[in-house]
Amino acid sequence: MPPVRRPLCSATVTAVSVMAVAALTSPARAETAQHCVADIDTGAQACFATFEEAIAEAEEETGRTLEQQRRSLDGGPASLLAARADVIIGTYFEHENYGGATFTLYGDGLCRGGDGTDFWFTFPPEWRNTISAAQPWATCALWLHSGPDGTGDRDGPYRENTPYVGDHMNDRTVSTTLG
Amino acid sequence: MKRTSAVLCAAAVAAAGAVAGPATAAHADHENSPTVRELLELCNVATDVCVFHPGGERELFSAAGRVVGSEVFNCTSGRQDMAVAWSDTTSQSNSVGLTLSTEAGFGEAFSVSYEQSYQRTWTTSHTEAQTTFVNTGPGEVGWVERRPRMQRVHGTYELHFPDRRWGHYVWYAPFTAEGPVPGSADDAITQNVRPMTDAERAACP
Repeated sequence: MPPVRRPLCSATVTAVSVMAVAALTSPARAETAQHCVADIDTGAQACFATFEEAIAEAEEETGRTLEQQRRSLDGGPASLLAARADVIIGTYFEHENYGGATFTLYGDGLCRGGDGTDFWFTFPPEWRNTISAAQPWATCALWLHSGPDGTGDRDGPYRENTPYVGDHMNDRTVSTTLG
Repeated sequence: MKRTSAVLCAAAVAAAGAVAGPATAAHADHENSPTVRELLELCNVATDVCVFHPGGERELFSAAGRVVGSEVFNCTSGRQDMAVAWSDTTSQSNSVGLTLSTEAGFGEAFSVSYEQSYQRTWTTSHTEAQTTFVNTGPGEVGWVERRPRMQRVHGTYELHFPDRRWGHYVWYAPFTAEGPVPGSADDAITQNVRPMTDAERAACP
């Protein structure tokens, strides 16, 4: 097995993540948040009720540069966001068939497609034991685990959009690994 | 090698995640950034990877009602069940206005993902044909209206290029498609009647 590439999101990083959430969202808004995004490398996380709110909040609070341009596209106007080297590596859904709240992880590169683990992440408490569907991105194979930091029972690899993770791990996921 | 990515973004990125950071090469490329249409035209043509990720549950809805078949005129002196034979075709449409073929390109990526995700086959066009009997009274006109059941799927394309395109290896593009739901039991078919106009009454044999 190749060496682990990004040994992040242990309990320490999770704690940082929680702090980051506190900095980004007020408790009132966090209660209604439906869509969370997290940087798997730093644990920084933000949750939003809507996409528009997410973008506005991200621009205002995180200080990241979301270059937005209105362009007249063939399919109608759309906004353009330019990103740095980060890519989406996985999206997790509260309900089957991609329903309910979502949690999206992004990291600093594609998965390498080998047997090793490129990323792992322990979900914050409010996201544990809730996941029913998942989508691997960035050529990742995705695993779900019932314990923190890739421990406990597991199921996978999920290599395609998966509308239902199966009875074994439904509503039992605490952490995820991707490779 | 660290790859750079760009998000060509609309609402779909809510599910995909607001991935962003300090704009580097992408910032300089904005003037030459592609449209969604340009990106999708390269899907499975010039890409290493082209995957469509649904952004939520499949939405079912009823299309606007339209008249199907021809009107029938009851010129008799008694009530009649009058047959209206009709055929109605519903077709897919999408947010970029490109023809979606399930055989190749971005349409193939979409249909594969749709089938994986919803355990159904995406249908680009469906024709429903029936005969509906409309009970009409003497001097009445009958017609049939149909409100076909449709579905809407939205999500994000993830495209990986072997070489930088518009300054990036990875692009994301929002996409929404609407299409028919063949054989849906929820199709609304209504029978309608109204009195003939004087001109219509005069045209009766």
